[in-house]
Amino acid sequence: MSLSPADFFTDYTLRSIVLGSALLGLVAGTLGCFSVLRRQSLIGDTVAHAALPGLCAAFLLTGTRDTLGLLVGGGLSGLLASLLALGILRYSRLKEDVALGVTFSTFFGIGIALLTAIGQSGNAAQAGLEGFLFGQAAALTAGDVARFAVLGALALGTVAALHKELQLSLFDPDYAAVQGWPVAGLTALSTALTVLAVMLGLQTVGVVLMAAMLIAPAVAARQWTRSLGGMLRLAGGFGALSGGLGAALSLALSPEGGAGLPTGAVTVLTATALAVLSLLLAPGRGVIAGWGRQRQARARLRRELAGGRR
Amino acid sequence: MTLPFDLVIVGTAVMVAWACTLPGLFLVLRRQALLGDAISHAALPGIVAGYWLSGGSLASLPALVGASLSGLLTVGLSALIARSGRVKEDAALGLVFPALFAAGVIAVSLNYGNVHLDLDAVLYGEIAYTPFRPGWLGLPAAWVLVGGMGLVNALFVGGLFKELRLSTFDPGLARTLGFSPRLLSGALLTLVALTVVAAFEAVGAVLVVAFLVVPSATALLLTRRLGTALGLALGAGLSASVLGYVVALALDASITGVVAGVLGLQFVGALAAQGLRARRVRGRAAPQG
Amino acid sequence: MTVTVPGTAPASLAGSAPPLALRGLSVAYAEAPAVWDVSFEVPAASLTAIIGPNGAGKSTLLKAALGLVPRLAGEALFFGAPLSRVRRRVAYVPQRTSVDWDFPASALDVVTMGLYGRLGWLRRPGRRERAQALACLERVGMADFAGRQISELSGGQQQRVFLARALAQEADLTFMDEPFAGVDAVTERTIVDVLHGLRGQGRSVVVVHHDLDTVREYFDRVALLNVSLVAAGPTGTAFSPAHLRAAYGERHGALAAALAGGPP
Repeated sequence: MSLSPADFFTDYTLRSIVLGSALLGLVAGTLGCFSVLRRQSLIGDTVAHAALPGLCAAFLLTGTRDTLGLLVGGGLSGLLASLLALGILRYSRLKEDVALGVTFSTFFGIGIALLTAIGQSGNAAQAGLEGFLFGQAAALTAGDVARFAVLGALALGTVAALHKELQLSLFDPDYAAVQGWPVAGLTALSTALTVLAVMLGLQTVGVVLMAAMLIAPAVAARQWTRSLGGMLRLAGGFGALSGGLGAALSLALSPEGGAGLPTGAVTVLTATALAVLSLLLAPGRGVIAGWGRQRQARARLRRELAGGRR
Repeated sequence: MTLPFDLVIVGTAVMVAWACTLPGLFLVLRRQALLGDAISHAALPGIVAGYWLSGGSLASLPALVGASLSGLLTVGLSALIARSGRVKEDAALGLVFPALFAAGVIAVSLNYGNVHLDLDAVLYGEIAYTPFRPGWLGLPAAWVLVGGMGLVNALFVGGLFKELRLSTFDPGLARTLGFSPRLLSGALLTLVALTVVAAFEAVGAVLVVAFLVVPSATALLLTRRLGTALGLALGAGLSASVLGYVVALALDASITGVVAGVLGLQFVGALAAQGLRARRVRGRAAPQG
Repeated sequence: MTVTVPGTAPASLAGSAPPLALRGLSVAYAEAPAVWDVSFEVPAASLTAIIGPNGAGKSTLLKAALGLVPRLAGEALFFGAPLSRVRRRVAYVPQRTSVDWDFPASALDVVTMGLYGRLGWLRRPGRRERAQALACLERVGMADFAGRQISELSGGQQQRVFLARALAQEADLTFMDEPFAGVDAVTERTIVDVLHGLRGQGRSVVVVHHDLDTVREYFDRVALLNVSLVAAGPTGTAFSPAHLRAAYGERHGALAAALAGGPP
C-alpha cells in the first residue's frame, strides 16, 4: 500500500484506524498515570490477560464474535481480577506485584482452559477470538471509533470531575481516609476506568502490548511536568500522538502486497521512543540534564578545594 | 525405553513447579513477581533471531539461546532504567518488555509474513505434547531441559540460602558483610531468565508464570519463616501438578489451565485460612470489660 | 479531667467533652497484640507526647484511634463523638516516609490538600484556597518554596509542608506521627513554635515522639506506652523515672530515666 498524506483525510478506513488508535492512546495514556503513580504499572498487562476467561465465556454464551459482547465479558472478568488483586493487597501482607501476579496467572490459566474447550468444539470463529487477543487495528470501523469516543469521554470526564479526590487518595491514602474520603471506592473507580481503557485497547494493540500503552506515555509525561494535572494532560497527548502516529506509520510503511506492519507493535515502539527521549532529554528531570548539573557541581567543588576555601 | 505418558506429563509439571519455585520465592520477596511474565514475552525477538540464524527450526538450541539473551536484556535494561531514579521498578519493566515484544512482532511480520511461524506454539507451549519429544538418554526433552535447570537452581538456592536471605531482607548489611547483593541478585535473575525460557518452551508461558509466583505467595500467607515457606511452596507445586493433571483428564480440559486454576484455589484457601486464624486470635484476645 | 484555659478556647470548644477520649482501645496484628486496652483523655489546649520503646505500638495507637487500622476492641471519641461526625475538627500528619515524594506535586499543591475536606465533592480549589495554603506555608517558614516540586525538598522541609497542610485544616485536634524524625534544627524549632501557638489558641496536639530529652521542654502531657498504657497525665507526674523504667524495661529504663532528668 503506498499512501499520500491526503489519503488519511479522504480514505474512510484509514481515517478510522488512525483516529481509533489515537483515541485509544489518549484514554490509555491519561489513565495510565494512575497505575504508574500507584506502583501498579503492570495492571494493564494483568487486566488484559485476566480478560481472557470473560472473552471466552461471552463467546460461548453468545456464539458470535460480536465486539460489544466480548468487550463486556472481558471487561467484567478483568475488573473482577483487578478488584481481587486490590482485596489481596488490603487483607494480606503481600505486595502489589504478587497480588497482580497471582490473580492474573490464575485467570489466564482458566481462560486457556476455556479457549481449549472452544477449540475442541471446532468452532470456526475461534481463530477470530485469538486474533482479538493479539490486536487487529486494521479491523477498526467508524462504529468502533464512535464507541471509543463515547466511552473515552466518559472515562476522561470522570477523571476531570474527580481530579481532586483521585489526587488525594493517590498521594496520601491515610490522610484522605482521616478526612473522610472513601479511599477504597476511589481506588476501585480509577481501577475500573483503567479496565475500560484496556478493553478498548485489546482490540487495537492486543494483550501483551496493552501494558505499554498505559505506562510509556505516563513515564514520558512525568519528565516534563510538576503537577498531576499537567502529567495527565501530557500523557493523554503523548498517548494520542503515539496511537495516531503509530497507526499512520504502520499503514504507510507496510510493503506493497506484503503483510501489513502490525499497528499495535508500531504504536508501542512509538510510545516507547517518546518515553526514552523524554527520560534522556527533558530539562530538569532528564538524565542528560542531570549529568550536566552533576559535572558543573563537581567542577565548582574542585575549584573551591583547590582555592583552599571551605 | 518409553515412559508412560502420565508419568512424563506429571513429571514435567512437577519439575517446572520446583525449578520455578526455588528462585520464585525470592522474586516474590523482592517485589519482582511479574518478572517471569515480562521475560516470557520479551524472549520473542531472541527466538526470532535464533530461528533466523538457525535457518528455521523453532525448538532448536539457537532459539533457546536467543530467548535467554533477550530475557537477560530485559532484566538488565529495566534495572538500568530504574537505577536512573526517574522511573520506579515496575514501570521500568513495563517499559522494556512490551517494546522488545513489539520488536519481535515486527521482525516476524517483516521476515516471515508469508511463512507460518506459529507464535502461539512458542508462547503457549503445550504440556500435553511433552511425551512426543524425545531428548537424551531416552528421557523426554522437557525433563532434560527443565530438570537440568531445576538442578542448577537447587544447587544455587541450597548453597547460597543464607546469603540470599540476607541480601533480600537487608541489602545494606549484606554489602557491609562482604556479600555482593548486586552480584547475587544478578545471578538470581539470570537463573530466572534461563528457567523461564527452558520451561516455557516445554509447558507454555502461563504455567511458568503461575509457578514462579503463586506457590510462593500461598506459602508466605501461611508462614513468615523462609525455610518453611520454601517447603510449603514446593509442596503446593507438587500437589497442584498431580491434582491438576487428574482433574484435567477427568474433565478433558487443558492441563495448563486446570493446574493454574488449582494453584489459584490453593492461594484462596491460604488467604481464607489466614483470615480465619486472625479472627480466632482476635476473638480469644480481646480484653475483657 | 479537662483543663480549659479561660478566654482562649474557640467557641467551638465550648462544652465539656474532651478533644480525645480513648476507652479500652486494643489492636492485634496477626497473632500478638500491638496495643492493649489503652484508655486516656486529651484535654483542650494541651500538647501530648506519646512515648515508649520501639514496637510499643505508638503509631498503631494513633492509627487505630483514627480508624486507619481495624480495632480489636474499644472506642475513640473525638469531642464526645465518633470521628465520622467531627472529621473537620481533626487533622492528621502521617509519617513523612509514608508517601511517595516523587509524586508530581508542588509544596503548595500538598498544602492545598488540607482544604479538600472543607471543599467537599467535585468543587476544585480556587484562588482563595491557594491564598490560604500560601499563608499556612508562611507560618512554617516555607512560603519561598511554594512552587517547588516536593521531591526537591529536604526531609525537614517536607515535614514542614505536611505540618502546613494540617494547619490549613484549622483543626481543633491534630495528630502527628514522628514529626521530629530526621529533621534539621530549624524545622524542629518551627514545629515546636507552631505547636505552642496552637495550644495558645486552645487547640490540642497529640504527637508520637521518640526523643526523651525534649519531652519536658516541648510537651505538657505524656502517654507512656508499651503495648499497654504505663502512665498518662501531666508531664510533671507521668514522666517519672519509675514509669520510664516500667515502660522501657530495667536495662534501658535506667538510661531513659537518666535522660528524663530523674535519679537513675
